[in-house]
Amino acid sequence: MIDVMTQRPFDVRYGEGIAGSLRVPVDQLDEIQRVLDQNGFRYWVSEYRYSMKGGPEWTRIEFSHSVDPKAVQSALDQAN
Amino acid sequence: MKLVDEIRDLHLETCNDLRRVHDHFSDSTYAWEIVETTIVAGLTLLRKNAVTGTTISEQELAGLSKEFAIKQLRESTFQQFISIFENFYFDFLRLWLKAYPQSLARKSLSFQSVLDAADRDEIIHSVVNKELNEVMYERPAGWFVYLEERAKLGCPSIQAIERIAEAKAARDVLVHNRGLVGTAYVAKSGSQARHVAGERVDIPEPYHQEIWELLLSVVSEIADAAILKLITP
Repeated sequence: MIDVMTQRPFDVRYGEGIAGSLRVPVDQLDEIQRVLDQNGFRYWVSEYRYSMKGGPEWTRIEFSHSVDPKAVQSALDQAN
Repeated sequence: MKLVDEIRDLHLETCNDLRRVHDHFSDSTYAWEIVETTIVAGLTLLRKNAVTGTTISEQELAGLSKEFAIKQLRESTFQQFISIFENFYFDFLRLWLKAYPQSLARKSLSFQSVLDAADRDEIIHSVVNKELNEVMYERPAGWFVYLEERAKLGCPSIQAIERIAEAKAARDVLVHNRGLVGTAYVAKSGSQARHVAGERVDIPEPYHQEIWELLLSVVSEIADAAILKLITP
């Protein structure tokens, strides 16, 4: 899946001891959640919405520690 | 100053502190989001720390944004929420016990302490502080039993107390055990435990917000109940 704000594939960020997270344009939230739900990933959507210079809003999806970020990345890469 | 006014001031100060810390969390998270977005949009940089000599690129900085914004910032502000609440609880009890020192009439005190004290207020102050130091080492459930015994406010609810106990246990894990859950957390958290021993304690955003709201609400509930009790003839 392509991030409409960056025109690049979505990038699941994670680090040592830190669960995965995903920066998501609000306009694509439903689409992303559909993919995550279909794959049974445990996640929550931040209540915060961000924007720069009146541009499109984005938010953040965070995953449970039990979710493998690489599996999320793979699911997003395969989704249309 | 009257006890009612002192409790009002304490309530206001505590709510302001909780809001200030949450604003700091929200604003800092936003700042890190802007950093990451700007880097994703193409910003490049190479910054050197003049003191340590460490250099950092835009990609490393973007990686740090997650470490700081999501982990450290959330954990540190969560710990501050708990500290602010603890300060409220003990400051409230200190005010209450000083206003009603008769409730500590059975406490013993060395005669030397009496001789050393400048006046009656100083003796009361000393006994109250000694009493609160003992309460401090109890578990949160014990704190609220003590509050009810002394002030009889009928709040907070058992469910709120259990959630505060879990939050305090999570805070203890972060402060004393580098975030690694042990059996102490499980025992202190009871039915509200979110982890089993061996896991890393997690402070997800919804939980961070729920605890902030819970503490704000319990602080108001205690202050309002106390004020109502004091002004009702």
